[in-house]
Amino acid sequence: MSNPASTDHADGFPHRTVVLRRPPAHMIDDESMIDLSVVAELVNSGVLTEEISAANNHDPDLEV
Amino acid sequence: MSAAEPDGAVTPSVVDDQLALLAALGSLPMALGVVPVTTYAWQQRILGAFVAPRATAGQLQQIAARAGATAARAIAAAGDPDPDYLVIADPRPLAVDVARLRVSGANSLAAELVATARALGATVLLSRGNARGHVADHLRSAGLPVEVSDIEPPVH
Repeated sequence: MSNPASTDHADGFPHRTVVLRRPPAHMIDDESMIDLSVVAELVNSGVLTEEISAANNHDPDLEV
Repeated sequence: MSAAEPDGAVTPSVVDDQLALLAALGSLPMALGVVPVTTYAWQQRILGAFVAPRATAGQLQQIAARAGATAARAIAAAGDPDPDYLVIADPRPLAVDVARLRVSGANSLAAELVATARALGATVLLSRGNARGHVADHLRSAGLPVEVSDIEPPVH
């Protein structure tokens, strides 16, 4: 996280690029599942808190 | 480390649920001497995503799966995180501040996040999806330093 933060984003906050690292071996259950490019895409597209706020405690991660 | 007694040897950065999950799984790199800290409310949100019976995979579940972790591994990592990877701030010393924030309109996630960052004097790191909306609005109102982490996969 030592790279300089970039500014001028629509949300008004400085952004810093973080490059994911491969999880340590003891954290991995199935190496065939590791796809950090998809993880990055998922994290960058998340809208979880906005959805909670809009629906007053609706939590898409608890949706059954 | 607790929110009331930050360890002076390290610099805490308070992270949201998605960054906390990645940190607990050992995938979130931090600068030397910086420790990711999350709140009890965010920890509960992560755990709730994995312990609830459900027919579909939510975003946190997908993140864990794509990082090679089963639900059991994610629960173990986030439920009792290795402090080298992630610290859960003790919410008890923050109770009064959280209550004041709640009655001023903050939801539980936002209130505990603001109170924790204040207590630790820490920068808040948000994933991009949380950089807009209720939590971001309350962090902005509180005048707390916030940065957004744009996550990229490793270059092969």
